[in-house]
Amino acid sequence: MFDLEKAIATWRHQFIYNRLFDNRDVDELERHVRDHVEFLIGRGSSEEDAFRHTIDELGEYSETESEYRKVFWSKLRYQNHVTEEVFWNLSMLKNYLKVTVRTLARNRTYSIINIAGLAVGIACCLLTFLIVRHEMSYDRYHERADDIYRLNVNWQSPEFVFENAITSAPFAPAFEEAFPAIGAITRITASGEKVLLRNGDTRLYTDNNRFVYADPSIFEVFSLGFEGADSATALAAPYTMVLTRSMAKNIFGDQSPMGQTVRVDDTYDYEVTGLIDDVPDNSHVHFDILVSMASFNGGSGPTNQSWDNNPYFTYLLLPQHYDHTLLEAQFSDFLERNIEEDNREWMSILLQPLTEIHLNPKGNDLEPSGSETYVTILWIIALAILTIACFNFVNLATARSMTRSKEISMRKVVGAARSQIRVQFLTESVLISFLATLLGSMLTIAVLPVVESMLNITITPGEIGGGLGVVILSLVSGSMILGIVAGLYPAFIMARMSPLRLVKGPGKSSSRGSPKSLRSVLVVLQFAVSVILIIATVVVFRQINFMTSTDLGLNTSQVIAIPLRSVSTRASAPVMKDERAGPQTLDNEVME
Amino acid sequence: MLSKRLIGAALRPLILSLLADGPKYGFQITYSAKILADNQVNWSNSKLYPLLHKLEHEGLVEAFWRPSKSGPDRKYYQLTSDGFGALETEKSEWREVQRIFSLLWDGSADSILVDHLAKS
Repeated sequence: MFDLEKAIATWRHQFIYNRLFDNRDVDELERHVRDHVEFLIGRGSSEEDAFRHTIDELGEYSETESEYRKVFWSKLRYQNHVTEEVFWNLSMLKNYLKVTVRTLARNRTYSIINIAGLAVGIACCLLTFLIVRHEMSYDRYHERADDIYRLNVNWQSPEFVFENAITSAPFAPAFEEAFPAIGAITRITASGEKVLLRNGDTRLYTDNNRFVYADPSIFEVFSLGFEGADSATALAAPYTMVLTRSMAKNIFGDQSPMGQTVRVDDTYDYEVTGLIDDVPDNSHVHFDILVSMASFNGGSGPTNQSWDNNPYFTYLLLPQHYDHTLLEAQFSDFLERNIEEDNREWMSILLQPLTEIHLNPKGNDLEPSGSETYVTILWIIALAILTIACFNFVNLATARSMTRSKEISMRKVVGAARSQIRVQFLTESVLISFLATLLGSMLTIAVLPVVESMLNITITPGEIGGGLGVVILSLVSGSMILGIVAGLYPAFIMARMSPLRLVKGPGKSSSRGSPKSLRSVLVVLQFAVSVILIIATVVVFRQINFMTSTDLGLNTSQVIAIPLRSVSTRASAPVMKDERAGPQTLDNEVME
Repeated sequence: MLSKRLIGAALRPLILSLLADGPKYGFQITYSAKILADNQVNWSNSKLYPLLHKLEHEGLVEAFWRPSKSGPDRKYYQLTSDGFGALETEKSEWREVQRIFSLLWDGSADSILVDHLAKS
């Protein structure tokens, strides 16, 4: 038997715990229902028909809720209840956090797997980010890095193009004359071999390519932290040198090196005219000693004025914001004026921005460089790892959320709106993401020295950019986005389910679009990406293993290389050869 | 039956107009609208009350409660002076819309356009 009062009371019940409706709103709606029902009964309808028709016209609960939501905040402002609502929401947030902590503590294994999995993914991503930032930070430490270009000479034929980083000696003076727009121009060339340095009893060798000849204008182009009397003349005279601070300390200890002399290769005495900062790791060229270009060729300087003899790297400083293509447009005229026709048809010259040199190396570059492809691949790997970690997180969160159906159904029964369930699950996933980011950051800091040593790089905080505040802000916002993205699916699934279905359990449905089918897709993708990465790792590992363990046909630990730098050592080479037949310690082949 | 889109656009002037001749409660407003539109208006009543609340927050209508014989009290809405002003604005806007459509649909729009082009 239909009971109108009971039906109205049941209908009213669905509104009373929803904060979008206050009591007066529900009273108003109930009054509407009663008025409409009375009107229809007056027209001859039965109570039941009148009630059902009224409820149909009033619209579904979700529709009503959605319309009331549109005016919710303006109503609060009108009633001066905004602050109360904010505090209420904060207290709910506190409740969500409390429940999250309890859930994590209750399911320790699940929590550890979930947080640790995400933390490892985040750590991989952060490490890759640091490596990529390092690769992209090359040469940016110069104050006017964006205005510095290297002059590259390409040798080309219809069949090939050889992109060459080095130029011949006459380019720099000819450029200075031909293009007054150039702010400064400088050349460097490295002594490819180790160089012997001597000061009193101190003797040491530089590494290859660390003894570099440079024009005096090098300090106008590059920011090297010069300290001395005058940077403009420090490398003007023959046999003058500027040392990095570390090299100065190695040679002179705590004494002041200024004005002192260093004997090079037991042949020439160089006067120290200045000090510079150590060249940072993220520079495309490294040197310990700069010597004047006038010292080149035994003090005669760059005498070879041939346009096709190319031992120099030439760098240009252009005015700020100068469009370098304007300069490049004049290069063909320059070549026509200066290069004989035979060479001209093979030769083209281009400017390469300083900051692009490391990732776009050209022929004859002094040092091994990076590559843009390598950086892109690193990004892809980092994103793949983070995606796997996210899939894992979504899978575990969705699977676990099903076991919490009673809690969710209870929340729904006592009036939690879908949005509140969504916020609860998103709060949980954001909190887990925060914890994972914290753990991942700690892991990154712990592993970074190992990675630096493996890759032979030094990552400085300055390369990350923006300072500590920006780093923390980026991590916090990144983890928040990650938490929201990863938590979105479980949150929507749980909020969508009816309390009845939640209490009964998810059942055996695995139809398209159900949580189970999505989980299957994610698991398959996760495995596929993992297998690809594992295979790639195994291949690379085996290749490296092959490189390091293959029999080269000689025992490298029993072979020594003795550089014969000075004339006197070279003269003693025959003596060493004669030692073959002598003591057992030198019983192997001596080769020159 | 009028489309939901059109009802959505006309709901605000419709409510202001219905309240112009005195206070009304929710069911009275929907009932009056239906009678006047010859049952061609079929809106979801869930839109009515939020819109009335919005008009109340904007100061265009004011509400008061009166006790009823059974069940909850009735909430009546009536126009404020700002509400009457807003109604006049709505009227002039809708009359302008009506004038444009009249010109277009009674065939006089073409001659107006031709005259305008000839003058310019």
